[in-house]
Amino acid sequence: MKFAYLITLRLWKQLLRDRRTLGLLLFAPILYIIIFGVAFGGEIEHEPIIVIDEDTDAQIMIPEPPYYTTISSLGAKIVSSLNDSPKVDVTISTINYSDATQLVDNKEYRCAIWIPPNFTHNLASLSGQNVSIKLYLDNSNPQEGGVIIQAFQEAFQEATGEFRENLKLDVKYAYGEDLTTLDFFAPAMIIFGVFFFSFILVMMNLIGERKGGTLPLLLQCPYDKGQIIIGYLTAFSVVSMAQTSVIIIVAQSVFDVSFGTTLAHYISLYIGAVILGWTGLVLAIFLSSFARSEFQAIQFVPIVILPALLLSGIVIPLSQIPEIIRWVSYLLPTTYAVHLLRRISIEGYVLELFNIDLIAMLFFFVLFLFGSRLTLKET
Amino acid sequence: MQFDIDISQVSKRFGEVTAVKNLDLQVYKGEIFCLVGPNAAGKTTTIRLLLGILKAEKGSGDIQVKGFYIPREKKRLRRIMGYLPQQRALYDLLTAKENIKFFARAKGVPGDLADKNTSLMIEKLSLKDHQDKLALHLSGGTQQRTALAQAMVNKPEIAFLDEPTVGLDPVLRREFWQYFREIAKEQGTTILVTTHYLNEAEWADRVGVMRNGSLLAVDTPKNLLKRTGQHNMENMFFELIKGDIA
Repeated sequence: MKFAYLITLRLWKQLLRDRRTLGLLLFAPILYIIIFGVAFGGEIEHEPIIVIDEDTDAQIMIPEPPYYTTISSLGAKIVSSLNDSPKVDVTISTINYSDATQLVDNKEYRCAIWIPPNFTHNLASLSGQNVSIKLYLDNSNPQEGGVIIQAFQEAFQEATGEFRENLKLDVKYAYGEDLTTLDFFAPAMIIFGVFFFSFILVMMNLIGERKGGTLPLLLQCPYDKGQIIIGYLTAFSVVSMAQTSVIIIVAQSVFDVSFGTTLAHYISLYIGAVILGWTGLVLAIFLSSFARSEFQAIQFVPIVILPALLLSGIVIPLSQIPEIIRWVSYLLPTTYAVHLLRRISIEGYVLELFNIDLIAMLFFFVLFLFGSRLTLKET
Repeated sequence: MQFDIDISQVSKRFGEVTAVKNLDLQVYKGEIFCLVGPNAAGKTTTIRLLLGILKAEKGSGDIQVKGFYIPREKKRLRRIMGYLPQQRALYDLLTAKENIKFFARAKGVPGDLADKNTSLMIEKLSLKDHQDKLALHLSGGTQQRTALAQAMVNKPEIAFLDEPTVGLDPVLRREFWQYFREIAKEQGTTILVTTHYLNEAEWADRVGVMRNGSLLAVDTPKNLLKRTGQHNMENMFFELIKGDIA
C-alpha cells in the first residue's frame, strides 16, 4: 500500500498548491446548496388575475314558511377566498368579459374569471340549472396555469361546499391549450444546447490555443484582435444553428413538439438562438483569460451553467423564484432567451426589431464582447 | 537607420528576479545575431521585450526595431517580422501546408502570394513529403520545420527565432542554420536567434553571450575565440564566466 499512500500524498500536495481549485472545491458546494435551496424553496404565488363578479345575493323558494330564504352571493365568497389565497393576486373589475380576455391576451393578467349574474340563484335553486363560470387562461406556462386553476377550485370548494355538482368550468385558453410539458421544455432545450455548448466548446478551444501557443502567435499578427473574436463568432454561429436545427427536428419528428407554424417563427427562433450562442461564446472567451489550463477552465462550467439552469426560468418559473434571489435571474442572458423562445414557440410570437428580450441579450453580448476584447492578451 | 535592433539600458523584472539587467544591444541590418547563454539567461525575455509582449521597467531606455519604437509601434512591426516562439505552435488538425498557409494569410500576405510563398517554404525546408499530413502526425523535427516555415512564410525583413533548434538532431540543426544563412544573404533578412547550444553560435555573424540578464560579451565568433584563447564556443563560454563561478 506504499504506492497508494504516495499517490494520495502527492495529490494532496498538488491540491493544496492549486489555490483556485481548492477555493472552488469549498465554494462550489456552498453556491450549489444556496441556489438549489432558494430556487426550489419557492412556491408559485401572486399570479395576477382579473375577476368580474356579477353575482348577487339570491332569494330561493323553500317549501316551508316563509317560503323563501336569502343566500348570500357565492360569487362574493369565491372572490373573498381567492383574495385570501397567496397563489393569486386578484383585481376585481366591472369591465365586460371580452375586454378582460383582451387584457389576458396582452399579458397583463394570467387569467380572467367571469362569474355571471344570478350565479348563486341558478346554482342553488331546486330547478338545478347547469351553471358555468368562464375562465380565460394564459397557459403558456403550464405550471403557472395549473396553480391558477387549483387556486380557483380551492376557492370554489371553500365557498360553495354542497353546490358543486351542477357547476361547469368553462375554460378557454389564451395561449397553451393542449400544451404538454415537453412543449414547454423544448424551447429551453435549444437554450441548453446552444448556450452551454457554445460556452464549453469555445472555452476548451481557446484554452487549447493558448496552451498550444497558437493564440500568442495569432496575437502577433498585424490585425486587430477583435477579428479573432469575430472569426470565432462566425464559425460558431453555424454550430449554433446546426444545433438548433437538430433539436427542432428531433423534438418535432420524434416527440411531436411544435415550435411554430410559419417560416417567420422559425427565423425568429434561429435569430434568438444565434444571438444567445454569441453571448455564450464571448462569455467563454472572456472567462478563458482567467484560466491557465483546461482543468481550471472546466471549473467555470458549473459556475455558469448551474445558475442559468435553475434561475433563468428553464426549470423553475421566474415567478416561483423567491424575490431575494430573483435579481440574479435578471442578470442572466439565458433568462431573456428562455422568455423569448417560449413566446415564439408557445404563443406564436414573431420577432420584432425592438423586442426587449432581444435587446437585453444584445446588451449582454456587447458587454461580454468588450470584456473579452480587453482580456484577450498574451500575458 | 544604422541598426535594425537598438536597445539601450533596458531592464525587466519579474517580482524579485531581474530577468534582463541594463541591456544594451545593437543588431545591424541583414545580420545573423545569436544570443547564447544557459537557460534563464534572459534570452527569451529579450525577444519578448523586442516584440512588445513584455513592457520594460519604468525608467528603462528605448527599444527600437526597424525604426519602430516598441511597444508603442509594435503593431507596425508585425507586418514585416517573423517570430518563432520557443513553444512549437501548430494546429494539430491542419496539415503542414495548411498551417503554413494559414499563417501566411494571417500575417497579411495576399492570397496568390501566400500560395507561392507556402510552396517555396515547403521546398526550402524539405517538407514536400509531409505537406499533406496533419501536424498531429508529424515527427518532432518535421513539426519544427513546419513551425519555422510558418514564421518565415511572409518573407520578413526581420526575424526573431527563439531557440529554433532545441530538441533537434545535429543534422537538422545544421540544416536550420544553413537556411538562416541563405535567407539572410538572399533576402537581406535580419535574424536574431537564441540558443543554448553554444557551439551553434559559430554560424552567426555576431554573438552575444548572455548570463543572468546581462551581456558578458558581444563580438564575432572568431574574435570571441581569439579573445578567450579557446577553440570552441563552449569552452569560450566557460572561460568568460570563469570569474563568476569561481
